[in-house]
Amino acid sequence: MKALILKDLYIMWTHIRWLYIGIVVAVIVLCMSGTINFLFHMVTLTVFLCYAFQVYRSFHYDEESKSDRILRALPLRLQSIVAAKYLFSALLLLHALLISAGILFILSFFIPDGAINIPASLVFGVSVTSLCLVVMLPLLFKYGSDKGGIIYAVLLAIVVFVPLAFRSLHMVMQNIMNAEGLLQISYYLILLVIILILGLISYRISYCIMRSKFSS
Amino acid sequence: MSNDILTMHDVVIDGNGQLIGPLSFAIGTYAFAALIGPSHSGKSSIINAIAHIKPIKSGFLSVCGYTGKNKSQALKAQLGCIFEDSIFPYDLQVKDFRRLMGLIYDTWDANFYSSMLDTFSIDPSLQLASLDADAYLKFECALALSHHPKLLLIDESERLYSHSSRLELFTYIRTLLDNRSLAGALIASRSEMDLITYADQIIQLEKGSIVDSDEIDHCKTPVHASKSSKACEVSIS
Repeated sequence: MKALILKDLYIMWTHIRWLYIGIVVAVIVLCMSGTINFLFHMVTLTVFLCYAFQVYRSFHYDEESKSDRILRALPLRLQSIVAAKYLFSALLLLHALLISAGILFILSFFIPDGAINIPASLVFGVSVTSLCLVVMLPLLFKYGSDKGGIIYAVLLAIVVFVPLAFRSLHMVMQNIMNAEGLLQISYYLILLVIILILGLISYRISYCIMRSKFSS
Repeated sequence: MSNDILTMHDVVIDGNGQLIGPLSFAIGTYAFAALIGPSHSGKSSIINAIAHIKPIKSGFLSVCGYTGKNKSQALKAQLGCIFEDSIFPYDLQVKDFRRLMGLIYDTWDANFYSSMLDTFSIDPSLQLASLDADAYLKFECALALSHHPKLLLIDESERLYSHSSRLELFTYIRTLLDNRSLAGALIASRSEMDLITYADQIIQLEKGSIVDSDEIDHCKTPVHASKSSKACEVSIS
């Protein structure tokens, strides 16, 4: 499993400069658009989705090189092959969290009271992207990067561009941020547990999909 | 039977909707065998079944002494695979695999891998994308053999490797078999060109069935020493 994660990280590393350039351009465009209200949320979401795209890309890359036959000839358990993609995604989320925090920290110097929004924006980014990934991964395992990517893009559009969904998510985040002390920590823990449960369900579905693919 | 590296008895395989078999053949230890047949004759499906990539529908299959499904990982560790239709991540460098494969195979020999790259004059810092077809085949060969597998599987069903690459590859395989560094090799190909010189056994396939099986007698002339098929006696078993 380590080898597969490392392989995906190596591949991502070879194109990391494009990822960073994409993030920088997106952040500049967002800052210039003047939507101060949702700026931190949008910046965080953009960074996270850029990283989530790397997960899609790793599937696309595997398909392009037809490496599934090689993968299946290696002495790896099916669980490891599926879990490697999930752990790779988790590592990317963690990296996106660090990069977003850094960008928001810098932006907070230029925007009055910006620092207050940082935790809410980060929680928002993690939540939305995790939800997208738990849906996207089984789709990619099932349909491959072409069909799976299209379905993912539609889902993403629903989540990001439907104002109602966006606003209600934002309200949830604001409620969490407005809570105090232990209550806020409880909210964080509940959110984390929900993400983990959804992740495990998603992993199980992906595993079943791959098992039926491998046995056919 | 115990001297065979591979035994198939009445094996039926589902090859993308087309039933292949029942197939029965055996490959002796230290033998170089070839599956020859036109497109869609079932060569790749047989290789997939041997490598436990696809399950068999029925029959008895023994590879390197492993028979059951539950020993799939242990069996796969004993196999080295070169598949013409699959490529390794082309953005990676040759040297990256030194570490990656060490995480997959317990028996991975990084020094052997490096020495093979030296032998084949492949620069480890090169990206796979920059290797030409010949160099890529040599890289695959180094990768497939550096965990010291018992059985080497080669599939060139879709497109033949270049003549010079094939000769170099077959000579190398022959040397490994003669040195007892490899317990067996099986190649699936559309053409028996060169194989009549190097292989010990040629199995002809057509529409999912074995139509002919030739054992080539190299007793009088060592295979690797002869470049001419005239020197080999072919006897139909």
